[in-house]
Amino acid sequence: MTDDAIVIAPAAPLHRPAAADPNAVVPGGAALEFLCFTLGREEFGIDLHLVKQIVSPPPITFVPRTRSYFLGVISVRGSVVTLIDLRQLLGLDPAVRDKASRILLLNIDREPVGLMVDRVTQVRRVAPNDFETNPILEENPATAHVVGILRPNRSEQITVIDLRDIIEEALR
Amino acid sequence: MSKQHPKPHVAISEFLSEAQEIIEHLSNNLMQIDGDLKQRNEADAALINETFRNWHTLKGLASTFGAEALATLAHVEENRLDDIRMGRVALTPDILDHLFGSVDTVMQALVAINTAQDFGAAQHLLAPTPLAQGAAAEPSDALEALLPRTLIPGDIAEVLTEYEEHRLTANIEAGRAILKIHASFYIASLSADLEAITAALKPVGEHITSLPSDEASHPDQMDIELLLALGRSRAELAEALTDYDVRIDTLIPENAWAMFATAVDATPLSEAGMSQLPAPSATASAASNAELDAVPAPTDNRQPPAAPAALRAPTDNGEKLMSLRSVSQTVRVDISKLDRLMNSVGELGLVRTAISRVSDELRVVAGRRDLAIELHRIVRGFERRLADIREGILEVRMVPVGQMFDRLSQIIRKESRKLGKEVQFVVSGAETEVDKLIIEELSDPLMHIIRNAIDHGIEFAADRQLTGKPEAGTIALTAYQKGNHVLIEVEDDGSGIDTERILEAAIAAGNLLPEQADALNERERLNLIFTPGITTSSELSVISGRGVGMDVVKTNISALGGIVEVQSEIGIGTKFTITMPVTLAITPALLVKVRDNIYAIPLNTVAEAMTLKPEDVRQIMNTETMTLRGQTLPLCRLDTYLNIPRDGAIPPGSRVIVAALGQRRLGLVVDALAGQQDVVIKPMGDSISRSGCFSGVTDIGNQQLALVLDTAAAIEEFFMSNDDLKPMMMG
Repeated sequence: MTDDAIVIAPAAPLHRPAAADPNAVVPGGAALEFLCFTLGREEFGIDLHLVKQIVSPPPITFVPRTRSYFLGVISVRGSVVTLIDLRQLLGLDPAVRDKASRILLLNIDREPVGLMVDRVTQVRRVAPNDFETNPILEENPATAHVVGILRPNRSEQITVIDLRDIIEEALR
Repeated sequence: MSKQHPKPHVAISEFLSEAQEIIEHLSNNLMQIDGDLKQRNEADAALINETFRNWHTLKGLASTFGAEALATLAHVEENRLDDIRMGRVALTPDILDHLFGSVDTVMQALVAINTAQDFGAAQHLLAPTPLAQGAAAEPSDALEALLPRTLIPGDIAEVLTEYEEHRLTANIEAGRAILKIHASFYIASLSADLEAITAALKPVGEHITSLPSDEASHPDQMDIELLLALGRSRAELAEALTDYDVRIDTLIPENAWAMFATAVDATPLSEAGMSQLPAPSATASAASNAELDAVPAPTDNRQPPAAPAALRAPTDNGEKLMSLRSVSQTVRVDISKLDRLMNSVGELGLVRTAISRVSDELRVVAGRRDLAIELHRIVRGFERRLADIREGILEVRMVPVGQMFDRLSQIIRKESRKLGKEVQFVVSGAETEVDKLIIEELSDPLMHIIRNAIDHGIEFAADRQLTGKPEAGTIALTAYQKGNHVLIEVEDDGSGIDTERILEAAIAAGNLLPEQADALNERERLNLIFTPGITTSSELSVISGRGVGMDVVKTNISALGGIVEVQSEIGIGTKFTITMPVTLAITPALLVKVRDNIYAIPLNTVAEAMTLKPEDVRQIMNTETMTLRGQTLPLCRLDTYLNIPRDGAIPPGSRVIVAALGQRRLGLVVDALAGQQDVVIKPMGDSISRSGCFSGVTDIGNQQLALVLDTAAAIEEFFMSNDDLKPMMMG
């Protein structure tokens, strides 16, 4: 087990991410939590509860004859995890692994899944007011799953994506 | 009485000499039994069994030579002795008299046959003589008979013959310890050695049976477990076995039955037993008169058949305390718990590798050599224990296929009745052991095959009569082990599969173009039943034939690393052969290197591995092949198969792994061998295992995973996609 593994939401209850349902977000007023990471120059956020653990990439075993966004399998504490390149899933260039690369182990039922991202930036707690839902964006694979934009301050902008559907689709 | 054409004299004299020998044995045995009865009021069970066999052999001999009357008489006596040896009938002096009488009769008959040189000559002598008195049946309460049986461990009970089980039960009732004597013999001298040890054991107890054990410690040896009912002290046993290197396990301790019976004392069972305790020979004693002085009148001194000790009051507190302990030694375990244990064992293996690495590093450190050596020694010990644990867990997972066969036989009975067909179910090899998981996964595919056989295979009685077959169809289910695989065959004597109809169906379903059909040979046509959407029946039937079917069977079996093959002949029947690995959990694997990736190939699918000389490679049509011991071996470059191909010729220094499954062989070309290792195969996620090339992954240390090649799938795909290989397919 790698030492720099960060356990963020151990056994977090599985529920629909608040961000995916703007109606649930706006009236509540409770703070929303997002895990933020970068892919290329862009910063993304996903519902924190979707992520079980973040690990540095262990050796990756490439599995031939699978779709290209499958990077292979990894072993995390004895269990075999399917590793997906989130960049390719969102229609970006394939991931290039470096020291900052991290794997987000997801909290989903189907099978153990890890997502490779360029760099994990931070966990953000945001007031619903700072969360802009239904942004108007140009249509492309990367924006198809965008559910909102976070504007923590004037200069920053984080794209919030709903990964559930896209992961479900990828695993199907 | 004499026949017109008596058989040649040679046959008669041959028959007479053999029959004479048997009769001599018989009368010898009877004399001994008589003596035992007089001295000990008890006959030696082995002798009675031998007498039974004598009559049986005589019966066989007589029918072979056509001496029907003699065969009939021998048959009657054989049955009588069977009843006696199984404890259904008490051996009374009357019966013994009668048996002596029968031997006399046979002797007279032999003389008559010899004189007339005609088998018919003895007919009048051999009229079956009814026994004066009905044999006095031993009071046997079904429960009473059943209870000692429950002490016999299930795995053993399953492999015993009825007679062996009866002897075991009788000995348990008599309070004797049942021991399992585990010995290893060289296969070359197995029967002689076994005979010697059996003889050595005879003075100290009753040898019930010898069971081959699967614990073979050495490839040249065979391990045998002898079941012994100990009649003497353990010290005497140890002395009898001084010359042998054996392990003795107590299967059932002395007086276990008494304890068990005490435990159930409070239940009405023992009351039932109580009322069933009459003097066994009461009837016999009245009838027994001094027809033969040699036979003592049966009197009260004849002991009742070993009464269950339940009937005796517990004598002291000690016995009472004992009785509270559970008699059953069985624990039911959830298979997933075993899987977890197995995973831990696999990981311990990795720990071991890590420790030996440290010890190797330590060895080169100045002044630490002694520590390194000690560490190395510790690792060796650790390794051995680990292997023990691994084997133990594997053993626990193994269950006999008989359990599944029983369930299947119920289905056959039900389904055949529903369809109004008469089907006989013949099972063999029910004791063959397979990993529990495989059994679970196999029962559905097997059920499907069997339903198909009843539904489409076996004809209705009227149709069968027309073709001269017996009215009742037969479905034979056979299991046996062959190396690391278990083969299960389902064979019916039905109508067979009409390949023409399958071809039509395949073309209709769009799985086959009409122009392709001509190119297929019979076997390939038959194999079309495994393609989706093909049904073997033209009309939809009650049971199967809903279009889903054989393709699912094949998919399920492949998922377990097995293959299914079909043979069929119109009018004769159909046979499915399923080849499965014995166990899934842990398997030795060959690690190979292909373009810097390590893959594991289960060793049970590997026949051999060798260096490939580029000059040996010959191109036949589009396929590279080599010649191995005079046979053409098609080659499959693993890099190409895995879609990571490399151009040009096979690089020098490559290795060929000869993969063999069923009758098919394929040479897998890899860059290098990377060792051999016992691996725990773990499943991958569904999404990524859809590549279909791998049966799972395994940890090879340092957080590295190696993909485990699904050899069956590789072979399958290779032969399916290479048309020019058809002649080579059968191997």
